[in-house]
Amino acid sequence: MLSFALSRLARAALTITFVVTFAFVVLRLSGDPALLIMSVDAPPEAIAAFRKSWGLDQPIWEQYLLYAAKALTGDFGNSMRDGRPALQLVLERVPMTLAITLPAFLIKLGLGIPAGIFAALHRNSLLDRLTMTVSVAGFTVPSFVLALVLVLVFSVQLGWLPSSGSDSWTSAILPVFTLGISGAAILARFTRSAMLEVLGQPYIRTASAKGVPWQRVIVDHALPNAAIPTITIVGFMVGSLIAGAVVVESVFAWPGVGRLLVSAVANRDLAVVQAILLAIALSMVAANLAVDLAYGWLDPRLRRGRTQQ
Amino acid sequence: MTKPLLEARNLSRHFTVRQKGGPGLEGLIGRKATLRAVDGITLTVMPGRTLGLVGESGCGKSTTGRLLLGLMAPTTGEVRFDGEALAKPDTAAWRKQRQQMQMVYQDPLGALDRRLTVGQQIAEPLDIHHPGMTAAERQARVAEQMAAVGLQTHHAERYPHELSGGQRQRVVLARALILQPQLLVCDEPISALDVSIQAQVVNLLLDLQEQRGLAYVFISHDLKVVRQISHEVAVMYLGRIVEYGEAESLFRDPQHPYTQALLAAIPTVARHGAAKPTPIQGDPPDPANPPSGCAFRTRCPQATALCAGTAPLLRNLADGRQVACHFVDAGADRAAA
Amino acid sequence: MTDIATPLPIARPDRAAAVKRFLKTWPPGVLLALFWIATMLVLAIGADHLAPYSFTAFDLKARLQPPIGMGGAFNHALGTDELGRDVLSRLVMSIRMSILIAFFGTLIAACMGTTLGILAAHMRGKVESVILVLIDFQASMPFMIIALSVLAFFGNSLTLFVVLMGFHSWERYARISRGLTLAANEQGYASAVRQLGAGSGRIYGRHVLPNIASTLIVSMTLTFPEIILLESGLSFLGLGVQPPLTSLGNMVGYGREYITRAPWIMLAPSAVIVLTTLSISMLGDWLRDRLDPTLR
Repeated sequence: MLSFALSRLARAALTITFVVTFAFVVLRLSGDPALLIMSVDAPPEAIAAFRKSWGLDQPIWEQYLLYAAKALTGDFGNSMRDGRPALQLVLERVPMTLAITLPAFLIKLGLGIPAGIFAALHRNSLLDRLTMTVSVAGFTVPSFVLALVLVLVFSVQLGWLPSSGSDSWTSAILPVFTLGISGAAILARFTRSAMLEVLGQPYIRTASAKGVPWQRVIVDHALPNAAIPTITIVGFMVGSLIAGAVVVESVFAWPGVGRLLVSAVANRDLAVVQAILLAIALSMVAANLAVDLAYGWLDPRLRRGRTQQ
Repeated sequence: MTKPLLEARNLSRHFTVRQKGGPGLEGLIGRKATLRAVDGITLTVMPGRTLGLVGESGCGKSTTGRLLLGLMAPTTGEVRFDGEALAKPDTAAWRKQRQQMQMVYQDPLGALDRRLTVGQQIAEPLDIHHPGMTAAERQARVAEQMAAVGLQTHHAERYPHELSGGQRQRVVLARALILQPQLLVCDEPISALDVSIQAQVVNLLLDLQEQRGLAYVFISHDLKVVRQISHEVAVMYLGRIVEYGEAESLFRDPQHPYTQALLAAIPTVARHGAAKPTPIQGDPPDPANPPSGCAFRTRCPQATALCAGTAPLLRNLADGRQVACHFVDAGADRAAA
Repeated sequence: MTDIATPLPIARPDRAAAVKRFLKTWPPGVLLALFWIATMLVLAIGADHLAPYSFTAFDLKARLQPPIGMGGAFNHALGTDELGRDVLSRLVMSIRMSILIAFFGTLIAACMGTTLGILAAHMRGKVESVILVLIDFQASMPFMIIALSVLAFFGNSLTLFVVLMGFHSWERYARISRGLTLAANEQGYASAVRQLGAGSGRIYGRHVLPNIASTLIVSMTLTFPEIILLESGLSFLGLGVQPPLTSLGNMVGYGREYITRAPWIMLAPSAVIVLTTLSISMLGDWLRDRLDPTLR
């Protein structure tokens, strides 16, 4: 198990390194970093100072190491529009994003997984077909369409909920539901197919042939085995807690990280973009690592490790 | 004395593997170990004769088969075909040599492309090596080969999954033989077939050998079939040859304890009062971590301290037999390794 | 009293059975999906001729006119937007744009991914390790974020955008083709043909690719709608297709401002997005079931 954990950690570190390298390469390819990160009408002394501190006159290897060092300590330069350090801006927005993604995540789990399990257990029943139709809608309807339709119904026609902004807690309802419903639909479909695959396995038939009551077969045998692939998707959703709300935040003018990213891209405020890219990479990698370790713990085949090649 | 068709001298193939488990940091990352799949094999195949290669799973016989054809490069040693060294795999010279030597596989369905008709696949070696052939000539050759292996012409339009196991293996044979090679290496060619079909295919192989003077290397773990088809037999254990000799006499009078145990393990109708055979004890050892000295000593009923200390070499016995055991005819000469 | 012998109904068992069989191989849902896709393709190809107006032509006297069902006239069947531009014409042009982008994006992703996957399986060793790391990296980040970053750094031109879309889910193709090629090489038909003396070109061109093609095509039916959704999302945010060009996401983005007064501006493109992605997904599911039921 320890060797498994170590190898996964190594992989996580490798991915982070890759993201940092990716950002570095893309930044260098797109032009002079000094002019890109500082705005065009910054005073020449400021530009020169930036050049110096980022080592832009040094050989490329040293630039890379300097960049990596800065990235890992959270120094990405200042936001072009705001003037404040980019990372600070991003971190300020994280709580706002989590305020809608966390409840949405709970909805996804609480609605999606039971729906999927239920649909699998009552395969081809009316409820199963209904669940599957709704869930298909979940991933073919893009989030912005769903958001706008919800706004149309609940804000414009019925006038119950505000359509944008973050003034009161009611403003969060529509964004949370938009995120939650589409995620729940995807999760329901996935859980259903994972359960169906497990239920078709011979060992399930053996368990029930042994006389084990059906409930226990599900709980002791089917669910734990179906959990393994489901965890991957859940892990991805956890990793996307910060990243997943880009479009929804923009539709509802919710001041979170996603909205910041969109405006940073539109303004080419590269310091902020880099900071967000790395923050998201870190959260994805951490979530993946947690998923991998959960796998290793849950799946005894991985726990014992491989002794023969 | 006829020249040998295929000669392998001191052939070895080692793989580096990582073994997990064990103390300290090394145990975590995995110690590098060498897996000696094939360890110093010397073989000869005469034209028109069959060499049987037997042993348990994992003894290295499939790897040996691949090395003999040059499908992989050996770690040490060399293989000579008709006096010439084999070319390196995947070079143009190597591809040309394929016309002389071919392989027949255990799983005929896996060896065939499911999207092409059988006729197209039998013709494929012609497309590869004789692109200038006309379509008529090609068809004639294909029909000829199909007849030789016992297939009918209408089978040519079928797809592999539409044929039976035995027919598929015949297709693979036809494809292997269409270029008139001199050597066929058959790696468990009948293990996947029903017993009644097995007999048919074996008879086909024998007929083809007689008609065309083909040499075979017949790799199998099924001793009864090997006895039927082979002229010479080599018994392998953990990458080494432990006994080698003329087929009939080897089966009648095995010398090496392993060969004796293998033959005794073949189920026969019980004879009252017959001595019970000594069973092979224990499990096969890990090929990456073989026992010191004689590799078979952990399961041999006659093992002594000598066996742990020194590995026995192949010795020549009076009748041309070679055995690698300390207790067999101590006065024999050492075989040139 | 005459017995009116009730004639037996003229049984046409063949007809009924034939219809039933037809519907079994072609379920009605799939037929509808095919019909929709065909319509979209016709619109995309003939956009220039089928659009009643030029998609940039504006008529400020006819602003915000409702569509037919809500009190509008025939000359603007789907209504007009805030600049008086005909929604139907813009819709048709947008369909072409979005479908073209999704088509080329899918093609690029499939070609690039398959090539890398086969390369990894063929060369093994270091090359394979590098490719596997790339696959891992792509799979571990949500592509929206990667796309946004690239757009931030490089700005936005249509060519760049299409190429960017081509990077979406290439790793899926790479994984599939690598897996299938490894299996073919290990013990399968590819190693058998190599052993016959075939060169790599023949092995991959005549044997491996035709065998993995059906799996790849099913993946393409998954990627295509995903790119439509991605491109619409980005265009909606104003970061994708730039004006004066129009795409489905673009239209929804513009229509957002007028959601209270003229909801049809955003509803028409939204409906097209949903129906198109739905159709292609259904087609993909059905193809997968037909071609290889063991693929789940």
